[in-house]
Amino acid sequence: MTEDDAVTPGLGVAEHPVLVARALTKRYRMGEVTVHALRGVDLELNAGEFVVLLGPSGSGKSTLLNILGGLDAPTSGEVEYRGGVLTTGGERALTQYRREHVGFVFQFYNLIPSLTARENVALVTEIARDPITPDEALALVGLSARRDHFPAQLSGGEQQRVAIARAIAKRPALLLCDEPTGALDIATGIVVLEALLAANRETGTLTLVITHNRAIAGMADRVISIADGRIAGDVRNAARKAPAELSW
Amino acid sequence: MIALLDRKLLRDMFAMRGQLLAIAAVVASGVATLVTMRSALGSLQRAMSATYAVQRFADVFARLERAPQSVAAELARVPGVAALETRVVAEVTVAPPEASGAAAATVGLITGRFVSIPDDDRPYLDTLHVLRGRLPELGRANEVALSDAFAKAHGLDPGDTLTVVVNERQLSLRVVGEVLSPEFVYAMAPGSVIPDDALFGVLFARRRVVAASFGMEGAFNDVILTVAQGAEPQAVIQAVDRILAPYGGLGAVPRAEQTSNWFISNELRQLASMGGLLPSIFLAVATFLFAVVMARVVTQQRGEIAVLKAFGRSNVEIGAHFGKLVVLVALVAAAGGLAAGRAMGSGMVDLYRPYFRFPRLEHTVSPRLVLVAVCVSLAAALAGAARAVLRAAKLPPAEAMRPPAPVSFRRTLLERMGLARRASVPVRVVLRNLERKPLRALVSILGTASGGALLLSGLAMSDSIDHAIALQFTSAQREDMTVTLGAAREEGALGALAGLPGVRYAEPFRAVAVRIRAGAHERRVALEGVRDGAILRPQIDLNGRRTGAPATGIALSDGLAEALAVAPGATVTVQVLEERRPTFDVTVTAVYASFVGMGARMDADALARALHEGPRISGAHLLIDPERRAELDDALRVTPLVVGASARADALRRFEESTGESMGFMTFFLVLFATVLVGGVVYNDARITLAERGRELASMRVLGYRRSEVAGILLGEIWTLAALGIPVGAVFGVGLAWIALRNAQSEMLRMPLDIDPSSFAIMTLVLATAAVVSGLVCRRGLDRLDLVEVLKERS
Repeated sequence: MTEDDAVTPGLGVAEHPVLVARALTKRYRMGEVTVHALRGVDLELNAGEFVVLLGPSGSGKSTLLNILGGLDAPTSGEVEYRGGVLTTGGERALTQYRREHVGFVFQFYNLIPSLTARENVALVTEIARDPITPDEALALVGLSARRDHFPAQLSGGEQQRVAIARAIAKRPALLLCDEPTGALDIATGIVVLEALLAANRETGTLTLVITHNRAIAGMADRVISIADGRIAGDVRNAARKAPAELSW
Repeated sequence: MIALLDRKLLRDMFAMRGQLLAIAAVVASGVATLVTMRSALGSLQRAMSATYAVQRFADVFARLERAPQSVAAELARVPGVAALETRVVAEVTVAPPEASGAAAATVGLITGRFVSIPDDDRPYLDTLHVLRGRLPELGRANEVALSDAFAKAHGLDPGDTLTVVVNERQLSLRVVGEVLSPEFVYAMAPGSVIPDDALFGVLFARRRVVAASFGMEGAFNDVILTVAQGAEPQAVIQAVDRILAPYGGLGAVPRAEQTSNWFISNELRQLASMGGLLPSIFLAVATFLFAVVMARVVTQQRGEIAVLKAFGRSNVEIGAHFGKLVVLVALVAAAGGLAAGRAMGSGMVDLYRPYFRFPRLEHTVSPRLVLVAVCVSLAAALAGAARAVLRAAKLPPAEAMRPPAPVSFRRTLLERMGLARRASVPVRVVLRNLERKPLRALVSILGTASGGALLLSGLAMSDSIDHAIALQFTSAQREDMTVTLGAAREEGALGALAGLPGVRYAEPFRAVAVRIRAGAHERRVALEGVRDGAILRPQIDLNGRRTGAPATGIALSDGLAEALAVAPGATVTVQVLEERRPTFDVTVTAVYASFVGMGARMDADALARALHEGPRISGAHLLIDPERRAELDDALRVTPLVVGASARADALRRFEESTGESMGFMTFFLVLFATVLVGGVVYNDARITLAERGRELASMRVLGYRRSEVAGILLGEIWTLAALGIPVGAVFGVGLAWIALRNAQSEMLRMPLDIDPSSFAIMTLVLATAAVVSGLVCRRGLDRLDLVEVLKERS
């Protein structure tokens, strides 16, 4: 894996495909109805990029994120991670992929209520190969002072920043965020986006944020639109806004 | 048309069928034990009271040496005597019947009790129920009716011939019938500890026949009587004893002390108390399970409750909705438990049938018991679910719409004490969850423990019986055979016994019937004269250690000491009931262990002095050559004055047969019940944990934890609790066994608690297996966790 050398923290945007999706389709049954969530998606994502995947609800963006993150398998097509085909490995290989290479941030944080902020991060560092320490990760998101608090003692924004710290602590090659500001007010949302951006800058992790919130697209290197299960647009922002400049 | 809410109810129940079935199984087990024991108890009680009433079972029983028939009129005049019958009763030996085929091989010396029935009529008291044939007819000299168990053991039919030996004379009798007597429902040879139908029988013949054989014409040696309503039996007994004293009266006993009745009553008493204790354990566990599961159901359905209330359903309707759920489970469980209990109760009565010979012993489940069973399971269900149901009813719709408040956690005590600093994060998750819900953890531990306790107590009972038998037959009773003489003889008679074929060693004993009194308490027992050097009947304590014969004073068996409420140092009054009938005071110097029966012992010489007699013997304990057993039996049959011979091998065999069967029955059900209890608790625990924490566990899977690692957290919690339940179960089990033994304990039967280490191992194995299997069943649910779906939901 020579690409590893290319992904150096602080490198910023570099044009190396980390993840390649080819002709992805996904159909699933919801009760009596068959839903075509993805109808042939081709995509290349490069190391260090900050990508926003934009689409209305039901467009298939979450399905795409789940497949890229190894939580779900496509009906047809394949996903390559650094040259290896992910989609043929089965459940065990997907778990290993998530364990070593992927960081997740969810709309509802998904922290373990019985663990403190630091322990929630340690949950990941304990099983990662080359993690940063939980304290370093919490410092990155500005939560060092709250590290011994339990989730019930933290605000929504703080919980989401713990989730970000937890996601980046393993130095993932890929950070996937599903509506990370969806449950937050705008001020808190901006703090969270700043933390994401800082993490992307500091670690050079390919960051993919999916959202239906167009405003967030302004801070991305690259904006991919998805509609009705297909890629509808893929543009690079000439000028990026700082999170503080965003409003919705 | 099922109401909409009811349809929802049925679907909810179907969705959680595993958990509900597990609870229902626990409730059903409780109902089944209740119905088994109570129905067996009721059936035996009905059979007993019907038999006693129909066959006019006597209230007082008295033996004496010999009294002229005229004394009967004097006895009948005693105030309070309602009806009275005099009889001639004697011990005989019986030649092995020719009809007995297979039985003959195992038979030792057969003894019998010859009981007279009136010449001119049927007996008025203790009447005989004729099963086959008829009663002996008047004027036919040699006719006899046999107790049915004895006849069946030897395959004797009406028309067969039976030879008995009476005072060295052979008497040939013709069997005319097979009968049941209320006096011998539980029939045991004197001095035996367990019935042996092949070796002991009761023979009923006309008075003239029995009297002629024993030279008792115009006399009697046995009285039975009923006491008039309102009369004081104790006063009657005293009056009877006074009248019979000059005629060698051996002391009248009330019905409560009559051997057959005593054993039956004791068994019924045990059934009654265990029939209350065992079901309570199951129902208590079921109550807790209902509480835990229903609390979870209501929490899970907060949203639905809110919507239903928002649309106008009343609090009462919502409460009733959840109430119906537990009522349905309880009713299904009660039905299952009743069906199982009915079958098991019938099996239990079948176990009693060979021992308790009632004319009619039918297993029935009374309507009242059915009602009790249903009420008890409803009560357990409603008591358990009450809190959750009330909470659902009271929940304000607006509050129910909001998600429940986040749960707060803190570091566990272990961590605050700095003991878990090195524990991995998943281990901390386990510890904190256990500590946050201490009540539920306690319920799990106690549930597992009660399953273990139930099993262990059953195994412990079995161990204690084995231990007591081993102690009795290897340490306390080391002889191969004990021969009893009809009356005391000069010591020279020992030589005759020692000279019998196959006898290797003979140790004499002297035993007299006495009444021992201490304050208000008194008991009739056999007082034994023993020698310090006794080899075959050494004095031992409860642990099997030899203690030596009492040089002075009297030693009492622990059962007798308890019955008389005396300890060493106390003085008791001994009233001898034979021959010169002296009365003397003596100091209690020791209490010794005896597992079966009550007894007292004195130094042989001291006893002889107290009896104002020289050295005499009542019989001998023998060591014999087993090869020559048959030869010895033949010789004993015709040896003058020998009225009884009991062989250790026969008693041991009977013990093993009878306890083996019932213990096998019991152990099977105990293992089954323990599994149901532990399985029910562990399964529900795992399901609830999975439901409450599915999201958390799915999150860990998303973060890259493997299935096995996440299963470790779920099962780690549950198995930790089960593991904690094992030692607690061991402690409870010992306690329960102790209670059960105290229950089984009586003046006649005493066993120290003795648990084999293998029983602890079996308990641990059964609990661990049940916990592992039911945990693994839930692990399948974990493997099916939908990772994607779980992330979409708000916590």
